[in-house]
Amino acid sequence: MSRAGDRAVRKARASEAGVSPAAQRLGLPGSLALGLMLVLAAAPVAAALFRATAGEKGFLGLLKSLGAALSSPSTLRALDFGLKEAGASALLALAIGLPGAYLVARHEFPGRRLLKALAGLPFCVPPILVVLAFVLYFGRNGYLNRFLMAAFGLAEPPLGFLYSFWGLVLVHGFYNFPIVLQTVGDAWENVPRDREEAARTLGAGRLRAFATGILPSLLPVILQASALVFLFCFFSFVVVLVFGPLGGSTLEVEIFRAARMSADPAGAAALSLIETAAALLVVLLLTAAERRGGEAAKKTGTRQPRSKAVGPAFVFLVVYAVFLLVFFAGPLAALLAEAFTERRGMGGGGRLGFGNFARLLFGGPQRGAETGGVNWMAPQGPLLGALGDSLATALPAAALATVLGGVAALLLRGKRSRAMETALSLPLAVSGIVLALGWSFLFPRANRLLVVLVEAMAALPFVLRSLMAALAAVDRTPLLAARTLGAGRLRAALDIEARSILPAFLTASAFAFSIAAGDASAPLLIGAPGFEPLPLLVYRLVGSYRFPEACAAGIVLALVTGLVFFAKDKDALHA
Amino acid sequence: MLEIRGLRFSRPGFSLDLDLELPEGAYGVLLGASGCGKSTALRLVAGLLEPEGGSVRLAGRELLGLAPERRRVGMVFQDYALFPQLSVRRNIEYGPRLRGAASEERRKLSQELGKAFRIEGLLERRPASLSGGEQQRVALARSVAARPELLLLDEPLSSLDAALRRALRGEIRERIRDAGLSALHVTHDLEEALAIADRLFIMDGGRVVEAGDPEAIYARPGSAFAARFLGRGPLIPVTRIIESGPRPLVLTPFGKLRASRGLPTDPAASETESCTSGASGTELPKGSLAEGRPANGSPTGGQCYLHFGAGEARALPGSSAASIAADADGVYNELSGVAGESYFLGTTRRVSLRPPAGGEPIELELGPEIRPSRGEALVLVLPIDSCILLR
Repeated sequence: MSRAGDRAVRKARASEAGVSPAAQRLGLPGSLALGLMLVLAAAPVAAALFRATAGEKGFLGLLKSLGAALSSPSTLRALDFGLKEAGASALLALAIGLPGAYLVARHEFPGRRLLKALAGLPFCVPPILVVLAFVLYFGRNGYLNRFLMAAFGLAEPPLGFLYSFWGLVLVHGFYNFPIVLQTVGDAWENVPRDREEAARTLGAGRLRAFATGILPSLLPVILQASALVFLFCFFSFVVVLVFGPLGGSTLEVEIFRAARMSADPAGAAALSLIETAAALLVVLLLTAAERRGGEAAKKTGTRQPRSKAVGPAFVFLVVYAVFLLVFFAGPLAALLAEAFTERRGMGGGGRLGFGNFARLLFGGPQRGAETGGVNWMAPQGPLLGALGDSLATALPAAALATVLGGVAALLLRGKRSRAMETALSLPLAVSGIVLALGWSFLFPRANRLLVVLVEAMAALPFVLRSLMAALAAVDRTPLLAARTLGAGRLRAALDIEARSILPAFLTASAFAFSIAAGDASAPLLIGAPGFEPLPLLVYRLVGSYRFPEACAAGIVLALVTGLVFFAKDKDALHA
Repeated sequence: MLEIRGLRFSRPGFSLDLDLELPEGAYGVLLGASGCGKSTALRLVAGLLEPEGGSVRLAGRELLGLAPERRRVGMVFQDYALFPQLSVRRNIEYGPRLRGAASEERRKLSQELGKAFRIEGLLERRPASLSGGEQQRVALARSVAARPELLLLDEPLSSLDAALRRALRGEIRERIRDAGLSALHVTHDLEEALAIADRLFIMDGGRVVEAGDPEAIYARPGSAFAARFLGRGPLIPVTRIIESGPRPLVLTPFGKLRASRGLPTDPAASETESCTSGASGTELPKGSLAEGRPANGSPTGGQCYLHFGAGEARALPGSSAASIAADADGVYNELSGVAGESYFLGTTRRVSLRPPAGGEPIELELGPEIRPSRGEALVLVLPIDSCILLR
């Protein structure tokens, strides 16, 4: 087709979509909002750039720093390990998520909504809890090993891969597969079936028809989900910190070590730049995939009703459900069981009760006290303090992210351009550790306000994307109807539109709160002494092998971060 | 020949039970309202849905149990279902490629079909860059290229504007006829159906309620549903049969009217109360048409109507209509009523006529020169030959 033809078709499509070319232009308010978002994302990276010069002024200093970091075997090992573990994790997440995507897209069955709702898990269950759950379940003394030893009369635990590369991949794969399931499942449901059916009537068998009629529409979405999972795994911090040492380390952990343990801010800054540059490539791939995947996500063509899972589909569903129960629900159940099990000594038997919670609340019983109960006179436990620290940072961080994201989303509403979409994706290339490190370069005094700022900035891109998607989905016709019925601009906005967009704002703020409350990176890197929010408490308890109490603290953390599950408009989370 | 016998399919709130015959090379049209099961019928024939029972035979070959790709039944979808990642040429060559046609043969075929369907200039373009009409032609060419024995078309014109629809419907029929194919075309557009069908099947509630030559069906619908769906004219409820026989006289809210024939013959009718079998003076049960909806075209039970074409009645000035009707006994009915709203429609005027004693009005099309005022008593002449009894 000629370029003029291309342009005409694009223009016609924009017109069909009700988006005039003028409406797609950003305008001054939109440009300001986009500029602010970019500045907030770029500020920590710029600070790292500046710091990476290690005191030598100019570009030469920067190159020297980067050269030193890139020539270091540990950096290359970390980069190599990070790329491999993120790649393998994304593949595993695909392998687990795609069958689920097929089931939710094509079949109706009890628990389908629950399966789809799992997509919120990577966002509202902090990684530290997943680490804990997998240690309890897959660890050498974990529930699964104990079951297998008892069932098959084994002397040694058969599963010992957890603290290795594959252990890390397993955790990441199971933690992130719901993203694949949700993203691909939604798109699959919307891909018109008639293309596949047309292929069948033209002589293609099932597989060929799928490859011709469905797969081309799904591929960009699969790529998009894979890139997102890859990015999350590439940036994984706590999981690698716990499982990594025997298998390897990632750049994220190396940055933390350089900054916090080796007191080498310039080295940490150089590593940050390398990591961000690598992530940027993935983000650009993600953006391109999102653009192409958008077509599949549109509801076009004839949508056939989902069929009941019968025959082979039913067998497949049962196998998948058992697989998820054993490998996915098992660790979470282990976490729950351990939290309510009061153990007598390391690895000893136990009984059900609230003792772990009580110890966290009121302090542990004195050593030697064999009363079997809790010493109520013991000093106060760490739980309330940790809960207070979590709320004191997560609430203002969520509020800040929602306000900033909300204003930006409202200003950017109805605007659409390739540059804008790319620009809004760029913050995804900045990891939690880089964000914390960069902002700590700008504000060197460690304090809670800085943690609030960093957590708000970490949540901001997700809040903005979820709000923009939610606002785009709001039907503006009632607002226009109100105007024609005599309501002024403000009155119509308050009476009609505010009610439509309020759930989206509440969801976005709950989402931001979950991200902030579950964050361990910023408190670990820039937290002031004595500052111990819930994720750090869990991390400390895991580190000292106090698993039952760690689980109890984890349950409290899950209740706090699980707030987002009560949000009305959860679909916006997957924008 | 396509023979469909007792093809059954059901899902909550809907059931389909289909019988249909389409001669080889004929262009059949399934006409019905949305949700009556037209598209489901096509999908069952194509093998895209699994029926609960019945038989579908094409040229003597049983299709049920065969996978869609083995049926040699092509389908043109409502949204065309072109493969967006393939060029127009590769879309057309998709079927031939699957049956193992050599590259040269495929190219020749796509060139020929491109020419036949007037899309030869579009062969290297992607479907997304085509207009609706162009996409429609590509979808047809692609289906024809796969050499099916039967082509199914699921509302292929519904996405197009009215002018293009009118232009393309003739072209579709012509191309399909040129290709020597039988076709079953689904539409809810009456004009489209009448314009292109060799054989018309009117569907209601998952069943074919009337089948045959479109002109014959239009001239003499076999059921009140078909008459209503075809929009031919009024259905006046019959309250009593005064005389039965080949020219029954019935009592209606508009007075005594004579019909040119009784109810269409139906074996089941003899077992149930019917207008024709009832003795003189039989009171007919009141009931809606829906209650007595016929199965498989069998008008059994339910409300009986006197039906005629909307434009058959004539209004004459003064009292001449009454005198004509009275003088020409056996030729005309006299239809008396009270005029309601009237609308000028260009060549005709649509007039609402209420029974003299009150009741549901009927709508008639009279000459544009007749301008009855609201509430004016009208006496019309209605040829008895145009009046039939229907259920």
